[in-house]
Amino acid sequence: MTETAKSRLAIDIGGTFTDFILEDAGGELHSFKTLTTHEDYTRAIGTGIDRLLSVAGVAPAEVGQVLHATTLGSNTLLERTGAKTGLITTKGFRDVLEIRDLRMPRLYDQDWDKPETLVRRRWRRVAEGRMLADGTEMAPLSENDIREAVAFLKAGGITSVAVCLINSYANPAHEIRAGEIIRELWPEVHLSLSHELLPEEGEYPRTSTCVINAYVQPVFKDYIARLKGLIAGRGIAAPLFFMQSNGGLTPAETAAEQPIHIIESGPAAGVVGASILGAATGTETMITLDIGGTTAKAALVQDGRPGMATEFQVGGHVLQTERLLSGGGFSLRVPAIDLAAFRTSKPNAIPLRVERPFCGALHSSIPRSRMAGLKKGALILGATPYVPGRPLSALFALTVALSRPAGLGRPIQGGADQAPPAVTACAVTPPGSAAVPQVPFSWRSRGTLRTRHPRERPERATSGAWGIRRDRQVQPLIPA
Amino acid sequence: MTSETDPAIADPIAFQLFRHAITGIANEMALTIFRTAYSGVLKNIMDYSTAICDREGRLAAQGLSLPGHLCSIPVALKATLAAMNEPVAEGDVLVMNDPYSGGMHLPDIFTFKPVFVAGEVVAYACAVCHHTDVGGRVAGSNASDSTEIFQEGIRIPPLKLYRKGEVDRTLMAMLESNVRMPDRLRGDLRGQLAACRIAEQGVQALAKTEGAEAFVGKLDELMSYSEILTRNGIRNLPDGEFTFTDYIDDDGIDVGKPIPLVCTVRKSGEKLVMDWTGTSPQVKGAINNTFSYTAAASYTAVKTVLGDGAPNNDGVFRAIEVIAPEGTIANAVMPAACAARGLTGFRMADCAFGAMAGLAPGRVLACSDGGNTNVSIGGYDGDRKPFIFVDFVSAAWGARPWKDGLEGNTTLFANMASYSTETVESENPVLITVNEFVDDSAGAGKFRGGVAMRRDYMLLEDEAVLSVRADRQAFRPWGLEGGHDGAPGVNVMNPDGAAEKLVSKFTMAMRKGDVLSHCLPSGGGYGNPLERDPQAVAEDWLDDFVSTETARDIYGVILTAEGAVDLPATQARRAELAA
Repeated sequence: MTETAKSRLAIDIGGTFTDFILEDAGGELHSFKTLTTHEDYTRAIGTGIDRLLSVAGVAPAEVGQVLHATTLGSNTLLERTGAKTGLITTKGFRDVLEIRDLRMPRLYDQDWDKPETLVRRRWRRVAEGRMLADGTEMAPLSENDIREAVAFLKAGGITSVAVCLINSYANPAHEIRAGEIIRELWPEVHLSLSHELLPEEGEYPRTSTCVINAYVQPVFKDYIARLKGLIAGRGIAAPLFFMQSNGGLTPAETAAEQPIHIIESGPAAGVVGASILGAATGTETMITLDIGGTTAKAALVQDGRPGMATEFQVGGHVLQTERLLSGGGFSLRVPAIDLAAFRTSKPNAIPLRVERPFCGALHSSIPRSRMAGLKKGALILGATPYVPGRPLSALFALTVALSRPAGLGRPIQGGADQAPPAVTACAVTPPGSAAVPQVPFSWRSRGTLRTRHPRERPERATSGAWGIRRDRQVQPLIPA
Repeated sequence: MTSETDPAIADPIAFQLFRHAITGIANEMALTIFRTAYSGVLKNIMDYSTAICDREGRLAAQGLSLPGHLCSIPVALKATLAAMNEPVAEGDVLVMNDPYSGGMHLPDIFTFKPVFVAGEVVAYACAVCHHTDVGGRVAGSNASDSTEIFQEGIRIPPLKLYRKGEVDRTLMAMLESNVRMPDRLRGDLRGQLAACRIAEQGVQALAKTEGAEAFVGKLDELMSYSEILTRNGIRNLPDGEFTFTDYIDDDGIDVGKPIPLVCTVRKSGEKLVMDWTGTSPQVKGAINNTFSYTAAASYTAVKTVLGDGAPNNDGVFRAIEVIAPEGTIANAVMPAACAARGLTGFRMADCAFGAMAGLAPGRVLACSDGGNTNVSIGGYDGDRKPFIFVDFVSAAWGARPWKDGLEGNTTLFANMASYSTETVESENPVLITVNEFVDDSAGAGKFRGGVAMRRDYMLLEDEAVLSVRADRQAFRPWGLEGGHDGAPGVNVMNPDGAAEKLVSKFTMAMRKGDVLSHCLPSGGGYGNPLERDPQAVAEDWLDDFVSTETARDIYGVILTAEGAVDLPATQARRAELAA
C-alpha cells in the first residue's frame, strides 16, 4: 500500500498546547488538542495519538506518515537548557561568538545587554592554522592545539563541541581534520562542524549557527529517539518527518543531526497552512497572525508565497538558515509588546496588561469573513488586499485597524459573551510595525520581521489582544 | 512620569500607527541602502543614516541607524534648501557634502528628494552615506593629518543631482573624475537614490491615505510628542550646573599637545543647555567638528540619560539647547580640515556623558573606549587598479552604575557594525590576523568596564598608504565613583617583529607583510574595586578577563588554583588594601 492511500498524522507542540490532526484514508480530518507536557513532550503526544486513533477508528498500522512540528528547539534556546557546549576556533578569533557584529538593535539605551553567549569564553579554545579567502593554506593546522582543546573541554564536562575556523567556507580541510581528531580522541562527544552546516562567508553567523546546532543537538537526538520509540511502540510503522523552518519537511534522522533547520518548525507550519488556506479562499496576499500560549508570530504571504529569510535570531542568538519570513515570537509571558506609551485624559483609564495563558482570549467582532480559524489557532487577518509598493508598516497598520474592534488591549479573563471594553487606556503597536524598525539593523536579516524585546514599564504596557473565539480555536485545515 | 505630564493624544492608536508607519519608511530606506550599496563601509559597517523631514526641513523620523547622524540631516537639508537658486520641483534630487554648507565631512554625501503630493511638497526623503573615497590626498579621504579642507577631497556645494527626474551628467562626470573608485561612488549613490525613491512611494501612499494636510499635521504632532516627552524627562533631572573637561590626545599635527573639550550642562526646570564654551579653538589636524555633529553628541548623552524613548525628531532638538562657539573644534569654520572629525564627536559624546554624570550621579555610565577608531588602507595593485579598505571599530563601554560595561559592543554614539573578517579578506588585499578581546584589560571597579578589543591588519599587496585615526593613548577612559580608568589604546607596527610603537593619528607607508596591531582602549570602571563581588572576579578569572595578579592586587580577591574564592584570605587582603 502506498503512503498516500493511508492516514496521515500531524502533531504540533506549542508552548501551551499540543495539537493533533489525523487525515484518514478517506480524507476526513480529525483533530485533538491537549496541554503540552513540558517535563516530557512525548507524554502528551502518546495521549493524543491514542485518543485520536481511537476516536477516528484508525488502526496504528494504517498510519502512513507522521508529520511533526515542535518548539523544542526555540524553547531549548530561550530557556537555555541545551548541552554544555565548547567551541574550537582559529587563534586570534576566540571571541567571535561574543563580539557578534558589534552593533546593537537599540539606540540611547545604556542598560543594553547582549544575550549571554551559549559558550562562555572559558569554553572557547583556539588552534593555530590559517586558511585564506581563496582557499589556500597560509599556516598549517596545529593538531596539537586541537588535542589540547579536546583535553581541556573534556575535563570541563563539555558534552557537545562546535568547530568553526576562519575561512572554512572556502576550504574546510582544517575543520575536517580537526573533526577527525576530535572523533578519534572523544568518540562520544556531539560534534558540529561549521562548513557542514553553513558553508558561507561570514564567521559570526557561521559560528553562531554552528554553536546553536551543537547546543540543541543532544536534546533533539534524545527527543527524537524517544519519539520514534513511542510511535513504534504503538504499532505505527510510518516514517517520521519534521517541519523545517523553511516550510519543507525533513526526515527525523536528518533533523537529529542538523536541528538548526527545524528551530522555527512550528511557526513555519502555521504560515504554510495559512497560505494554503489563503489560496483556497482567493486571498493570495495576506498577513498571518499566529497566537499561541507563549508567543505570537506574524508573517507576510505575498502572491501566495510566504517570504523567505536567511538570518534570524532565537533568544538573541543569530541563526542563519533558510526559513519562512515569519516575524514575531514576542513573548506574551511578559506584558507589553511595545511602547503603548499613552494615557488619555479619561480618569477611569486602566492600565492593562496581558498575561499568559493567552489562549483564553475571547471575543471577536471581526466579521467572520475576515477571520478563519486554522490549525494551531492561526488567523488570517488580512483579507483586505495588500497594495504593492506600500510600505510594510502601512500594511501592518491596516491589519491592526481591521482588528481594532476586537477587544484590543482588554484583559484576558472574561466570558465569551462579554462585550469587549472600549479602548480608552492604551495604544497598541501591532507586532509587525514594531518589528519593521528592528529589521535591518539588529539582525541584518533579509526582511525578517521581528519585534523588539518588551521593555516598557509594566503599568504602561498593553498588548493587542486580537480576539479569538473560543469556539473557533481549533479548526480543520480546510475552511468550512 | 505621571499622567498629568504625559502628552494627551486624541486618538492614541491612530497616532502610534502613524508613528510606526513613518518610522517604518525611514527604516525601509536604511534597509535599501544596506542591500544595494557597493562599499564595505555601508553594506558591512553601516555608516549611513536615513530620515524623513517635513516640508520645512525639520526632522520628522529617523531610521534606526547612527546616533552620530541624529541632527545632521535637517541641518544639511535646511542649508541646502536655503542655498537653492531655483525652485525645487518634482523629480529633483539635491546633493551636498560640504561641511561648510551644512554637511559634516566630505565622505558623507547627502541626498534629498522632495516628495510631492498634488503638486505640493509634503516631505523630504533624506539619506546620508559615508562613501569609500571622495578624492583628496589620502585614499579613503579620512586622513587625520590634513590641514585644510582642500586636501580632503571634492567639495559638493548644495546642487541638483537630478532635475525633474533627469540626472545632471555634468555633475556626475565631475564627481566621478575626482574620486579614486568611481564605480563605488556611483553604486553607493544609486543605493542612496533607491532609498529616496522607496521613501517617496511610501510617503506618498501614506499622505494619500491620511490626506496631505492631515499628514503634515501628524508630522507636527509627532514632533510635539517628542518635545513633550523630552521636556518631561528633563524636568525629572536635578536642577544645577556641572562642567566636565576631557582631553583629546592631540590633533596628529602638534603631536603630544592635548586638546581640551569642555562641556557645561545647565539645567533648570524643563530647560537644559549643553554649552561647549571653553573648548579648544579649531586645530590644524583634520579633527574639527561641524555644529551638527557636536549637537548629535550632546543629544546622545542627554537622550541616553533621560531614557525616555522619545522618537528621534525635531522635538528633541527643541527641548535641548546646544551652544558651540564658532571657530572652536566644536564648530569649525573655513578652511579647517575635518575628515577625521568623527573622533572629536565620539570624544565629545564621552565628555557630554561626563557632564551629565556630574549633574545626575548614579545615572550615567563611566567612560567608554572613545572610538570608533578608523583604519584606512589604500593603494594600487600591480595593474594600477585602486583598492581602498575602510574600517571603523569601537567595542568597550564604561561600567554602568548598576552593572559591568559591555565588551565587544559598539559605543552608544557610534553604533556601527563590524566588517566581518572573512568579508574583509574576500574583498581586500588585507588579512585580519587578530580580532578578539585583550585579556585582563578592563577598567576595574565595583562594576568593571568592558575589556578592550584588538584588531590586527596585515597588508597582502606590495605597498599601500595606511591612515589611522585613534585616540585615548594619553588620556584614558575615566572611571567614576572610585572606578579605575580603562586601559589606553595602543598602535604597534609588526607586533611579532620590530614592534614599533606608533602615535594615535598618522598616515604612513605600509609594505607587504606589515601588520598594524590596534588595541582599542577599555572601558572605565564604576565604584571601588574592593567592593566587587568576589564571585564575579572569580568568573572573570575563569574567562581570562582578570589575571591572578589583578584579582589579588586590584580587587583584593584571592583565588585557588581552580578559581574558587578563598574567602578568609580575600577578606584579609581587602582589609590590607583598604588600609
